[in-house]
Amino acid sequence: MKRTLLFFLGILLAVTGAAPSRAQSDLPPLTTPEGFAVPQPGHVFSFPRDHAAHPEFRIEWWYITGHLYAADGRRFGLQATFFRTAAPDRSGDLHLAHMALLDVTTGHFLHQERLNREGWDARAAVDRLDVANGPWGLQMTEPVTEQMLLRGGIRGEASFTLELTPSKPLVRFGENGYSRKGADPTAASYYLTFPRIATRGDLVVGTENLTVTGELWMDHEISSSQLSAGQVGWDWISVHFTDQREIMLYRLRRSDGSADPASTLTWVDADGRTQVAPFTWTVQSTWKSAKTGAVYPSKVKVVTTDPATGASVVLFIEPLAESQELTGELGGVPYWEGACRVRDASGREIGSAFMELTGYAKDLKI
Amino acid sequence: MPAASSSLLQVNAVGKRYGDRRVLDAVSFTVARGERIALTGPSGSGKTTLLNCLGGVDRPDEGNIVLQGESIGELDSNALARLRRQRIGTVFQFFHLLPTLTVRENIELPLQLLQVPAAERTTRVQSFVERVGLVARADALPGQLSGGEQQRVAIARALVHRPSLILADEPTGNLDSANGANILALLRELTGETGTALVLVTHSEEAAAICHRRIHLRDGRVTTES
Amino acid sequence: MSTALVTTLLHRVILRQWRLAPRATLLLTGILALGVAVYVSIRLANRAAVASFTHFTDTLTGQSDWIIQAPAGALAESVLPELRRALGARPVHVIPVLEATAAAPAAGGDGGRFGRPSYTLLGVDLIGVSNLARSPDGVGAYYGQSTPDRADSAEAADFWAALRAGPQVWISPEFAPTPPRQLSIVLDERVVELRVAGVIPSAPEAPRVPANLMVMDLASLQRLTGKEGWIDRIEFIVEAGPRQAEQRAELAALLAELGRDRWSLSSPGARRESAEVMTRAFRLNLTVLSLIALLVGLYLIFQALDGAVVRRRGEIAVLRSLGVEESTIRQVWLAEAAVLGLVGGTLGVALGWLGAQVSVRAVGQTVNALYFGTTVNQANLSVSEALLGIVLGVVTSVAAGWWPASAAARTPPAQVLHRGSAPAVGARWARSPMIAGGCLLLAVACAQLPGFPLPGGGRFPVAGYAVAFLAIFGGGILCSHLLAPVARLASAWGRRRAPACVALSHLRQPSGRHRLAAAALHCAIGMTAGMAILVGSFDQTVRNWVQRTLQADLYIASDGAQTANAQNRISADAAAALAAHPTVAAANVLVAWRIELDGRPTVLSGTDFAVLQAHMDLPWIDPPPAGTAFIGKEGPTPVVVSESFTERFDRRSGDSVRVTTSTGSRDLQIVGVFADYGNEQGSILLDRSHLVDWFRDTSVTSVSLWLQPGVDADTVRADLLAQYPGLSVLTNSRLRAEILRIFRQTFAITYALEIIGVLVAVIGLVLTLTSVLLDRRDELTTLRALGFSRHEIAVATAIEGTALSAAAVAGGLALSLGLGWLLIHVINKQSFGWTLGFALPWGQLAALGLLVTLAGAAVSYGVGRWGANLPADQEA
Repeated sequence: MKRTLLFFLGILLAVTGAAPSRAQSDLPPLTTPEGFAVPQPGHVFSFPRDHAAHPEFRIEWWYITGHLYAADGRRFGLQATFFRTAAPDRSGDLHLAHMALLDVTTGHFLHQERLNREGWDARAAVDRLDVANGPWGLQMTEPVTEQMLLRGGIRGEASFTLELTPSKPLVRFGENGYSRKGADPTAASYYLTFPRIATRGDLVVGTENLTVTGELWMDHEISSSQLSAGQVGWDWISVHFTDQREIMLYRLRRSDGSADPASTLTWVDADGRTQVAPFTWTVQSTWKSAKTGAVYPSKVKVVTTDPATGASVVLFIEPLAESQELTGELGGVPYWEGACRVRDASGREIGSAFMELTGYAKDLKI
Repeated sequence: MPAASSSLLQVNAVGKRYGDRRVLDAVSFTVARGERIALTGPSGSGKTTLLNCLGGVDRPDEGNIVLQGESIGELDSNALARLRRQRIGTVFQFFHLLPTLTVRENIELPLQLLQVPAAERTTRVQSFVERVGLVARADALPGQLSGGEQQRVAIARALVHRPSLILADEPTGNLDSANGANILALLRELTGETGTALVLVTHSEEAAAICHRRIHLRDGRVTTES
Repeated sequence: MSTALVTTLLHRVILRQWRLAPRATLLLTGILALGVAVYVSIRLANRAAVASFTHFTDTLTGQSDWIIQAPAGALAESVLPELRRALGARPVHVIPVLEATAAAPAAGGDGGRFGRPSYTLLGVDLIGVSNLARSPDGVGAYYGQSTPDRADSAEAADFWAALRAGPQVWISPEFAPTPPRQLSIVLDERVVELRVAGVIPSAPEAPRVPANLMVMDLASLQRLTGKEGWIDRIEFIVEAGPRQAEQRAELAALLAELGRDRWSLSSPGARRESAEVMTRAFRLNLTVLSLIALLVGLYLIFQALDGAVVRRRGEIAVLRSLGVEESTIRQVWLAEAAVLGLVGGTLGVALGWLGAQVSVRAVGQTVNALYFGTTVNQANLSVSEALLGIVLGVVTSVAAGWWPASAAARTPPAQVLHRGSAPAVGARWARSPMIAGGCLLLAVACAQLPGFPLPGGGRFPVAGYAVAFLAIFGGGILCSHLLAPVARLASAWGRRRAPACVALSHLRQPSGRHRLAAAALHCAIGMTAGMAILVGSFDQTVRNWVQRTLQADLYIASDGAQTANAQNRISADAAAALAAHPTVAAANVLVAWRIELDGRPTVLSGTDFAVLQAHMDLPWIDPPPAGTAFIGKEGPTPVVVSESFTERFDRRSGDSVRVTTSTGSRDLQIVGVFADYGNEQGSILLDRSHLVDWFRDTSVTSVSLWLQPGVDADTVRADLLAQYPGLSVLTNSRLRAEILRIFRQTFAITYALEIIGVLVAVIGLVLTLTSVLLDRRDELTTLRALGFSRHEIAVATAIEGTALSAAAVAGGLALSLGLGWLLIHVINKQSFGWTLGFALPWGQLAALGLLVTLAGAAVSYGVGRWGANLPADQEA
């Protein structure tokens, strides 16, 4: 009986190999027991180098999500992710990439995973942003304007080449980019985000060639361990409001379903300044995956405070299609990542969002 | 001369040679319906040759033979076969039964050739089996029969399909006198019952005796008729 | 309408006869079954041997769309990023593959014998391969397999440990009932221990995993074979999508454009085809031989059916007298033949399938030795093959029964049937010496025709086979004309003896049956003797060649090289160490590269010409001019080529050749031609220094050592084997014996067919005499009445039979000279391109002639004895 590899799940959820909690000092250790670097508070970033890869850290990803619109008004949800994970003995990285495309009009959801060793078919450069996995790739073409080029696709069924131009400066979540994920001192990451990126390019769906424009969100996280004991996954939402503000919600979930204290909701204003706010999370409806048996939240109600007005804001996050699960045959981790719309209390659409729900699949095999 | 309409068989000036030897020379006679004729004569007188010509098995070089209004000489090989099938029955000196067929099946064979339907075949065969007195041996193979019994089967086979003419070549030649007498009696009775003409080639007086007339051949020529 | 009649007669007359004479019927069915069986089994074996050539990667990937590989040597890995860049965003999987061959270590003591199972090691990126749509378990397919020595755990650490473990291999599910933990294989000159990490997962819809396939991670195999940075080929799979077909075509154009002089583009289907094509000439020749078996069966059945007609003439005559038409008789007898054919054909198919299980091994071994590795060990019967066999049986039987059925139909009605009539003399054309002469002249003319070119090189000697047929036919007619003169010759002796008088009187006017029996026997003897001449010549030529080319004392190659397309080498260091052994006086090396030229495979080999010319003489067909320098020349490199090369590629001395190597195209010029029986695809030989330069590879394929005078070869051999257990070291005499053994093996099947041929012809003689005697029953009765004893009657028949055999032997041996010449100079030359010297194996030929004549005499006596006991003629 072959066993599906859960290496990613193992990395993300395994605690038994992680560092024991230290109480001596408040500063996190410099390295994990295996020798991987641990994010340090007060770290000074330098760009464009820090857009590139950090092989001394165990896990890293460049995560792009967003909404695209074709000239005829058709709408698409896009996800392009490049993961890098290092071998325990630092003998070489494995690169995993995910691509997903939702055609909102038809509800058709395409996705593909790709796994390759570091080498000729997959790389993450250390001097500039240049990640590639097979035919997919993300490069910073213009370090001054931080313009990027994204190439991706799903098999022969869809492909896209998009020019990415950040319309807001880079945001560093947490304490200047140092984002705690739990009580464990090593459970932290450097969290750098371009919260709003204007994009333009070509999208081929089936046999149709479309010109698309849209807005994307790009996360770049660098860490060596993400979760602490008692955490089983997380819920993450990025919101693009129509008034040019954004929200990033990172809810670390405990086994009883409640949020870990390290969870945060951060507002980003029009100038790119961040402000953390409290929030509540209520699942209004769920969706069960036929493939994996996991039950994911579907419609979610988030109540938070608008830092600009101090008033309470109710947000309804509604997936544009229920079935947006990535079944994770290669990575071993199924999760839900989908394009959503955001409505206010009166039902008015006030923005678009992407929601990511991990750790809901109880059993990965049917 | 009997009226043409009642004559079954007309032999007109038939002649045959083998190399320079003349085997038949201007042989003429007629056979009426149901009449029994004996062809007698010494060996080499051409009796067998004449019989073969009558049966369509050999062709005369001169003259013609007319059977039931049809001139045999003008028929091709297949037509001759049909002629033999329909209108002629043959009894041989050496019986010539098919060794792999039973008595019943041997008798049935001419009917199968004529595609007589099965039910009628069975009835006719049965009646002939009884008539020649071989009911007890009806399912035996020729190898299990005596000479006399085999010849009886042959006679039944020759008559079962109601031919107009029976040709018999020394039918008792291979039998002892007791059997031979029985066979001759059977021939006379059956041909009388069915009204079948008979041309019988023979050496024996007893055989000639069952016939209405005798035609004597010598050196290929008819010498006497009686 | 007459169908009913025909069926009745068939049932009542014919089939009952079968039941009454079951042995005769069984014999007849058996003969036909045997003929069909031989044909079917060869056909199945041929098919199985080639079908087992699987494009190995397909078992992992399902089926690749395109493959690129260097026309010679390996591809550099640096090509991969270039390809990925050129492909851009196209959804294409790129799979680099490294392939190596290895063999199981020789069991105990003596190595050296070819034919051990050999393995193909496929190195692919096992992580990359998990991306293919066909891998349902993803990475777990390989690295997640639980093996007894690894704890059953889901922890990530396990995966990384699996990934980093030392050289490990995945074996085929059919390798053994339970997979071992460790495996030893011979790779190049080393014996290597590998950990067995699991079993190759079978991808759905992918071909069955062959038993001799092993999979390793690419990097692992590269390290193991010392080929870091190199790969053998790259396979491409276009991902699924609505424009897949279009994208495939686009990809092919792109790859062809990019790789203009660097690589060649092909597809798995094309590779399979080329394997088929490589062996086509060989398989065709086998098929023709097997058809001869069927022909032989036809002849026997004809004899038997003819005899049956004679025996049953009485019954047929009765049927005719009752008025059954000729055509009906013919139909009944043909129906009998058809039923016989059906039963015999079905039985033959079953026997053929059984026989194929045996012959498939023989064919497989030959293919292994001559062409490429194949592990076929079973042949499967498909419905279409079975139907073909049955149809063949029916057709053969009906063909054989045609003349007897006509003869039956021509039987006169009982009244005119005379048993004493002379038996049919046979058709006029079958007696005509004019026709015979015409055939022979035509044969000579055809002998001048070139062979029919087959795709992929090689030629099929159609004209050659036509010549053989014409010669046999014409010879048969002429031979039967020998009977009367033989009889007249013997009559002087015979006059004093009564049995001889009787016998020879028959021969003075031989019947059609006599002629046929003589012709058949003559044909069988001619073919057998002709083959004997071919084999004898081959043997002699190969011995001479071996004598001339094998001069060294010891021959060393990798023990893993068990099949013709093995790629095992000896590292340069090992070769140097061997040459430096204290007992060695001189050493030479040979390196062989498989390359493609004009779209066809051939071999580019290199050796040290200085040593070559000092220690041995190549068997030249066209020697190079004296003093030709093989190194250091400007301009095109001088090479010598083998004879098969000149035939296959249509080039001779003075012509130029352009080959593509991993470092670009090279111009060669042919300066000489030598004889080489080791390889049908031809080879080019040049000084090794060039090849080292062109392929950047110093490994060698084999090493030859000349030892100091007085040194015992066996001792040195034992010493070397102890040092390098992965090497095969053969002494001169042992290598010669091996080569000759392999050559004999390839003729194994033909030997069997020859023996059957002669046996059958003798049986035919028996059947002929039987029919003849049955026809003459009256005479036999008369002879007995005259006072001949049984013995004397038997002697008469024996004389008749011996005279027949003698005439046949004389004619047959004469024919064999012609056939032998044809086989050697036309058929063989056109099929394989080898020049053979004509050598007559006097002893074998004399023995054959004597044996057949004596056998003829003996069986004839037996038949005569039987005839003498026939009961007096009773009416049936």
